[in-house]
Amino acid sequence: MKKIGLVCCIGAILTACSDFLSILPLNDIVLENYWTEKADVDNAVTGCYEALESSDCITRMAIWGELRSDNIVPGMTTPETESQMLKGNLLPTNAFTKWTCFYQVINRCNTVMYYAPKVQALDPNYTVSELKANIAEVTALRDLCYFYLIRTFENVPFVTEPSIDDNQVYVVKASTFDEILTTLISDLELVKEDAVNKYANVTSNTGRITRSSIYALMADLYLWKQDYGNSEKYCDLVIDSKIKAYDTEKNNTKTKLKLYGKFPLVNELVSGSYSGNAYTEIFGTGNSFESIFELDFEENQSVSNSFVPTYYGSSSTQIGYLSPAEYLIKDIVTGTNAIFKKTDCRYLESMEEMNGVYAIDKYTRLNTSFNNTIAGAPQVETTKRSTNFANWILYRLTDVMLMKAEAQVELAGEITTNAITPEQKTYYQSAFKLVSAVYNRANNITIGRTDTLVYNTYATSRANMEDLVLKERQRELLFEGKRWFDLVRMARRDGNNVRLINYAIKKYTENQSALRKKMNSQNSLYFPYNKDELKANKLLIQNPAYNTETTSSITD
Amino acid sequence: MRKYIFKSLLLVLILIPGVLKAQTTGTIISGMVYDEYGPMVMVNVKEVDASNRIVAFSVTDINGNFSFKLVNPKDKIMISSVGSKTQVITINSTYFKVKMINDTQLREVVVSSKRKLETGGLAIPDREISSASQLISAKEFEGLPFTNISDALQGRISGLDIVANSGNLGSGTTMRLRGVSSINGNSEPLIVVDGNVWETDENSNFDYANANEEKFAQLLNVNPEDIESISVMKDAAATAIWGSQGANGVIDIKTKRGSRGRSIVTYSLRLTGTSQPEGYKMMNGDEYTMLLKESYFNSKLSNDAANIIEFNYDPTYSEYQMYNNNTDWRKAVIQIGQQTNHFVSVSGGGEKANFRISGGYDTETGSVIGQKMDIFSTRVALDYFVSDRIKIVSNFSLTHTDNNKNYDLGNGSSLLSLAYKKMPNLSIYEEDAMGRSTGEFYHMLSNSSSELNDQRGMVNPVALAALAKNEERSNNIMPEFQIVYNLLGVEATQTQLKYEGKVVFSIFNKYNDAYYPSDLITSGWSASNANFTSSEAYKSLGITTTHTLTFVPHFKNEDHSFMAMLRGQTTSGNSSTQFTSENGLPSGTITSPAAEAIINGFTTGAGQWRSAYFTFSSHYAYKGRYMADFSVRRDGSTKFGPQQRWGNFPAVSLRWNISDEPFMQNQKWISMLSFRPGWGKVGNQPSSDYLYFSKYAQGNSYIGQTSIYPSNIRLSNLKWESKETYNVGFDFGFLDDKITSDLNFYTQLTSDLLMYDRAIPTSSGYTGLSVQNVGSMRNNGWELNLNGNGVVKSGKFSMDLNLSFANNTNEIIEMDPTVLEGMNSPFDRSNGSYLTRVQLKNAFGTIYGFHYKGVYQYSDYSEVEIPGVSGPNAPIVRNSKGEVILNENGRTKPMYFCYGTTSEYIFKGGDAMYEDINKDGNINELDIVYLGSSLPKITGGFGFKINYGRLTLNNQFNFRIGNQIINAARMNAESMYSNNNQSKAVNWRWRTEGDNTVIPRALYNYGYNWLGSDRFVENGSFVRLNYTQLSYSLDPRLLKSIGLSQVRMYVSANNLFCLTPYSGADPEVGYGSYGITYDSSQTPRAKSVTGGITIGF
Repeated sequence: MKKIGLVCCIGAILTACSDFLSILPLNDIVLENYWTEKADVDNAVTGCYEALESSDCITRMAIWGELRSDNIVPGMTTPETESQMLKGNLLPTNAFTKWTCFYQVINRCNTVMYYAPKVQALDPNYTVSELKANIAEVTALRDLCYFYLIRTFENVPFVTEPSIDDNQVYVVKASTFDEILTTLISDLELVKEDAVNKYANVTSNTGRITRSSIYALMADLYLWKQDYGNSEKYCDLVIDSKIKAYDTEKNNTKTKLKLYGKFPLVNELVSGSYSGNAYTEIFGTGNSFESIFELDFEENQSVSNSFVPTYYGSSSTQIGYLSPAEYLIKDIVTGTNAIFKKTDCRYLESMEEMNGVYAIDKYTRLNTSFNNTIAGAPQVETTKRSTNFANWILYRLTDVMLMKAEAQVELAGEITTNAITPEQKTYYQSAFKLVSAVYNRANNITIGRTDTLVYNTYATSRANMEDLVLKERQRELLFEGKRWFDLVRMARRDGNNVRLINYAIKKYTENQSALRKKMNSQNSLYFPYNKDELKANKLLIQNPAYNTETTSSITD
Repeated sequence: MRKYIFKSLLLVLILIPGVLKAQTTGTIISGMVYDEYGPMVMVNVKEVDASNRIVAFSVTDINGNFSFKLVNPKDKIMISSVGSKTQVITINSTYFKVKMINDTQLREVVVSSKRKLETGGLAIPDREISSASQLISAKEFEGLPFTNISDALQGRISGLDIVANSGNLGSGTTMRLRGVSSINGNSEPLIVVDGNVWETDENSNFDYANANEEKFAQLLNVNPEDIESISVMKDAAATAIWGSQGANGVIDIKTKRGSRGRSIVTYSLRLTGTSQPEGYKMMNGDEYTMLLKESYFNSKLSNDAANIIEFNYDPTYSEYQMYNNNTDWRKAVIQIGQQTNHFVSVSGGGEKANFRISGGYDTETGSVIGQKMDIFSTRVALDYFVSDRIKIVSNFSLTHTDNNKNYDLGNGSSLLSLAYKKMPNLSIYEEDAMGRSTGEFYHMLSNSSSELNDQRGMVNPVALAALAKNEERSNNIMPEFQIVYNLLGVEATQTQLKYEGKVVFSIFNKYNDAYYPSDLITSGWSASNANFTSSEAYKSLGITTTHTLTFVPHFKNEDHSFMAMLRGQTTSGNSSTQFTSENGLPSGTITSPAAEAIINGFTTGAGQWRSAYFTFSSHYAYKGRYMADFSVRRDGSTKFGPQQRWGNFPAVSLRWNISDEPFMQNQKWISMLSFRPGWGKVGNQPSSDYLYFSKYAQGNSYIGQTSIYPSNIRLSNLKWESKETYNVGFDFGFLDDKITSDLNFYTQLTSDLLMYDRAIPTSSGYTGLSVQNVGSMRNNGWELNLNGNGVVKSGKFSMDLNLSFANNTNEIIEMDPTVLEGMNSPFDRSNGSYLTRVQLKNAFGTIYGFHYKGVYQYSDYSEVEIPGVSGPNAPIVRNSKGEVILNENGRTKPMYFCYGTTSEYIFKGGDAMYEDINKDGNINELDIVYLGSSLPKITGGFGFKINYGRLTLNNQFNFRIGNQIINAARMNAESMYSNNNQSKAVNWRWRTEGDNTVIPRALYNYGYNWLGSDRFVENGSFVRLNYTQLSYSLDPRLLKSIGLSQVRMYVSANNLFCLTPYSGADPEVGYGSYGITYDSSQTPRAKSVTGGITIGF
C-alpha cells in the first residue's frame, strides 16, 4: 500500500514539475506579460527617446558631427581617444567608432513598430490614429539614427526587425549610403502625415517628434540626396508652420520674438540695452519658439546631459575636453576676424577666452546678456551651468532656414558666362533673405553698430553664395554637431575633397601636408568600423581608408 | 550472521518455567535480570511490537527485578543493557528470569563488515566501486590546524589542484578537479555535506572565474573537527547522480555521528601563531628618492622635472620631517597572527538514539594588521530509532562568522599591496619640527606636488587598518529532518526496500558593514568617501526536499548482488538584499547609515531559484568479481526555456577484480588488481536565471513619462553544456592491502561550452548574448595514487606513506571563430600587458610576449667598446646574421618600437632590449612569441607518517611542477615607471653609459622598459611542506586511573618551507581569466606553528 502511495507521489511530482520550474523574474517584466495595452506602447515609445538622450548618443551626435571639423581643437585634460581623433588619427580601436547606442534606439523603435499593431488589436482604447502617430514617431526616431550612422560611416547594416530571440540572424552586411537614404525618405513619406501636430504637453511639442520635426528631418535627408526641390518643399512646410504659429502666438511670448523679413525669430535685444536674449531662450532655457526638435533634460529627473559639462565645460570645470579653434575667436575685437564681425552676438555666446585658453560656451550657460551701452568691448554677464540639464537641439528654425538657402542656391545652379538668369536671381534673393534674417538677428551687439550683409557681394557666383550659406551655418550652428556633416555634404556634392580639406585643415598648425594626403580619398570622410564590430560581424568590410593601421596613423 | 547469534542467544537464554497460562492485556509481567556477577541494575526492559516499536517500558531495580503491565500478548520482551547483548523473549509466561551475556564475548563473531563507500546513494563495498573516486578519512589529518578542509585536501587527492587564493583571513581557495573544462563558467567542484548541497542564491552576476569567497563560506560551515571522511568523485560515472551540479567533480563530506555506547566527551585546544613570509626586499627612503629623481630626469632630460620638493630633503620645506624617513611599510602592516581554537564534542548513544553534539569557537587575528575573525560553529546530529524499521534523523548546524577585514579599497588593492607601493621616505605618523612622532597618522597633503597624485591617492595603510571598518558577519543555519522507513526486510538476508524522506533548510544571512572615516582623506569633506558608511544585508532561504527509494533484493544464489536507487529532489529558494550607503556622517563616532547624512546609494534586490531532478542508480555484482553500474539523472532547471529545460545524464561503469579470479589465487602478494572502464555524461547550466525570457526593464523617464525597454535577447537556443568523460582505472593492492594504489586515465570532452557575454554585432541593438553555446574543449590526463599502510613495521615502529600525481592537458577542439577573435585582444602597445591567445588545438593558459635580452649598454654604436662612450651593445638594427645594417649614408639604423604608430619610440642606452625576432629593426607585435603555459604539468603531493609507540610524526608535502606564472608583483616592483616603491633589485639598474646590467634605467612614465616579456614570466614549480606534526598520546591505562579516556598532545607547523625557483613571495597563485596565472602580490600564505591538546573524558 505504502509503496503504491509513494509511486503515486512521485508520479504527481513528475507532472507538477514543469509548473514548478516556470518562474518569472522578480525584478523585470517579461514579454509574455507586456504589449497588452496602450500604456505599454506609450512607455516603450518613451524608451526610444530615453535611449536617444543617453550620454553615449549625445556625445556621438556631437563628436561625429563636430570633432573632425575646423571648429574644434583639444581643450583641457582631453582624453587619449578624443585627442587622437583631433590629431587626425582615427583608428578602428577608437571608442567613438562604436555605434551600439544608436542601434539600441533603432532596436527599440523596431520593437514598437512590431508590437504596437498587435496592441491595437487587443486594446479598444488604443485607436488606429494613435497607433499611426506612434508608428510615425518611432519611424522618425529610427530614421534619425540611421541618418547619423550613414553620415558617419557611409554604409551600415540596415536592420528593421526587432531583436528578440537568439534564433534570429544578427550578422548583417552593410547597405550602401544611397540605399539607406532612399529607404529613409520613402519610410518618412509614408508616415509623415500621421505624426502628431501638437501635443497637449507644451514641452513635448519640441521634445518629441512632431509633424514639423519629420519635415525638418526630410528636408535634411533630401538635401543629402541632392534632391533640392523636395528639400526646399519640406523646409517651407516647417517655416510656414512657424510663421503660422507666430500669428496665433499669445502676446506675452510674442514680445520675445521679432520678424526678420517674414521670419519670426527670437529677438536678441528684447528691451533696452541688453542683448543676448536669444541665447538664453534657445540654449539656456530650452524649448524655445524656434526649436523644432530637441532632446529634453529636466532638472527633477535623474537623467542628465553629461556631454556638455564634460566636453564643453561647466561652472566647475570652465573648460571641457574641447576648445574652439583659435581662428574663430581671434581678432574679433580688432575687426579682422574672417568669420565673426564684432557686432555679432554669437561669438560672445558661443565661446570666450580664459587666460589665453578658449572655452566653448554654447549650452554651458544658463543665460547671457551683453550691456551694449558701453562703448568698446561689450560687458558680458553670464551664468554658467552648475547642473547638467542642458537640452540638446537637433533641429531649430534657423537651421531649416539655412538648409532652404542651401537648397535654393543649388537649385539656381551654376551661373554661366552670361549674366544671371531671372530664375537664378529669384533663388539667390530668396536664399540671401534667409541668410540675412539669421545674420541680422545676431548682429546687434551695440546700438548703432549693427552690421548687415550686402547682397551684391555674394550674388556674383554660385561659389560665393555657397560660401555665404556655409559661413552662416558655421556661425549660427557653431558647436551644435553640424559642421563636419555640412563639410561632408559639400564634399559629396563637389565629388572631391578639395574644399573640405581647405576648411578642415585650418585648425592644424603642424603636419598639414600629411593630413591633406590622408583626407584626400572620399572614403576618409567616413569613420572606420570598430574593431570589435568587425570581429563579431564577418560580413562587414572595413572602410578601405582604414584597412591597415600604418596607413591610417601619422607619426606625431 | 545475526541469525546465528540469535540462535545462540536463545540457547543461553534461561526461561524460568512458570505456570503456563494465557496472558492477556493488562497482565502484570515481572522478572529478574542477572549476569555472571549477580543481579543487574538499570537494565531496560521493553515490550516491543512486531516492528520493534516500544509499547511498554520498565527498568530493573537494585535487586534486578522489574515489572510492567502487558499491552499485547503477541508482543515480545526486549531486554538490553550497555555492555551486554540484547535479548528478545516471546511472552509465554508472567515471570522471567534472564541471564545477560557480556557483549564483548560475542564481539569477534560480529565484526566482519566490508568497508562501504556511500557515494550519495548506494552503499557499495569498497572493492566493488567501479568509478574514479578517492576517500580520505579525517583521522589522517586529525588535530592539524586547518580552518577549512581544502587546506587538508591539498596534495592528497590526485587530480584535485587546490590553490590558496591569498593568506588573508577568510579568503578562499581555487579548486580545479581534472583541469579547467569551462571557458568562463563555474569550474569549482561541488561540495556536498552529508548529502546536502549548500543552497544559496546563485547570483546571476556572480563571476565564477574569479570569486571564491562564496565557496569558502560554504567550507567554513563545516568545522574540520566534525568531519568523518571526505570522498572526492572524479569521473562522470561517479558524479552522474549529481547531474549538472557535479559537472566539475564532487567533494562529498561526511560528518561524524554518535554511536551506541558510553557518552564520550572530548575537548581540544589549539594555539597557532602565523607569520607572513617575506617577499621582495623593498628600497628604503634614501634609495627611493634617488631612484625617483633619476627616473624623472631620464624621461624629460630636465632638472626641473626632477625637482620635486618631497624628494629634495629641503629643511625649509614645511613637511620636511615627514619626507625624510626610511619607513618599512611592509613591516608596519604585518604582525604575528594568532589563532585559538576550542572544540568540544559529546557523543554517545543508547537503545533508542544516538547523538553527537559539538561546538567550536575559533578566534583568529591575521598576519596582516587589522584582520580579525571569529567563528562559532555547532552541529547536532541525532538518530532516533522508533523501531527496527523506522529511524528519524535530525541534524542541525549553525555557523556564525564575524570577520573584521581590512577596508576594501576596490581595484584589488590590499594593505600589503599598498605597503609595497607606498613611498618609503614618507612617515607613518606626523612628526614635529624636531622629527619626533606626534602619534597622529600622517596623510599626504592635498597641496603636495601634483606629480605625486597617485601616491596621495594611496591611503596610509597603517591608518586604514586602524581607523576604517569592514565587518562581515554571517549566520549559516542548516536544520535537517529525515525519516527512514524499511518497507520490507531489515536483515541482510532479506530483500530490502527502504524509503528515505528528507527536508533540508539552508538559511544564510550575511551582513556587511563598512565605514571609511574622513580622517583618511585630505581632500576635504565634500569628497564622496568622507565619513562614508555602507551597510549591506543579504538573506536567503533554500528548501530541499528529497525522496529516495532504495531496493536491495536478496538472491538465493549469493553470487549475485544487486541494488538500485530511485531519488527525486526539488529545491526552491529565495533571497533578498538591501544596500544603503551614506557619506558625510556628522562625526567619526557615528558609523551607522541610520544617521542623518547624504544618501549615496540605496539598492534592493530579490532572487528566486528552483530545480528538480530524478536519479536512478543501480549496482550489480557477480561473485564480487564482475561489477556493473548504471545511473541516469534527469535534471530540470529554471535556467532554460521549456524546450531545453530537462537534461539527461547517463553513466555506465564496469569493474573486473582480476585478483579475485581463481587463476590469481596463488599470487598471494597481490591482494587487489582490478580494471575499471567507465563512461558518463554530465551537464552544466548557466549561472543566471530567466535567460529564456525577453525582459523589459524600466529606464529613465522622458518629459514626465515612464520608459520601458526590452533589455535582452531571449535565449531560446541555449543548451546544457555537456561533459562526457571516458575513464579507465586500475586498482592495485599488494601484501594484503598494505600498499594500495589506483591509477586513472581519462579524457573529458566538454561540448556546447557556455560562453558568457558572447559578443554579437551591435547592429542588433545589443552588445551580446548573455550566454551562448560556442564550442568544445578536451581535457586528457592521468592520476596516480599510492598509499602504504604500515609499509615498514618493526616493533613499535611503523610508517605510512602516501603519494599522488596527476597530469592534465587541455585543448580547445572547436570554437566559433568570432568567439575566438572576441577573446583575443590585439597588442595594445603598452607596458606590462601580455597577449591572451585562445586558439584551436591549443591549451588555455598560454602566455605570449617578447623575449627579453637584457639592457642596451650604450646609446651609441661602435664596433669596439670605447668605455663610457659607445660600444657594440647599442640599440641598432642588425640582420639575421647579427651584422649591423647601415643606411645609404653609412650610418647605423636605430631600433624602433612600433615604428609608424602613435606609440613609436627609439630605444636608447639603458633601455630594455627585446629580441627582434623578424629582424625588421622594429619591436612590434610581430616579435611576440610563446612564453609558456600557466597550466602545471604535474600536480600532487606526498606524505609520510611515522609511528613509534604512541608518538607520531606526520608530514605532508604538495607540489606543482612546470607551470609558468606572470610575476606582476615583481614587474611592478622593478618597472621604475611610476612613483611606486621598487624592490632593492633596481639598485643594480643602468645609470650611465657603459653600465653592464640586466635592469634597465629608470624612466618615469616613459619608454617601454617593462613590456610583457619573459623577464617577468617565471617557473612556478614548487614543493611545499604543507604541514608537519609531532603528536603523542598518553597511555590509556594511566589515564583511566584519573578518569580520562584520551589525552593527545601535538605540535605542528604549516607551510614551513617551500622549495621553488620562483622569486616571488609565494608560487601558489590562483588561476586568472583564460587560465593565465598573474601574481599581483596578494597576501601570501602565512607560515604557522601550532600547539594543541585533545582530551577525552
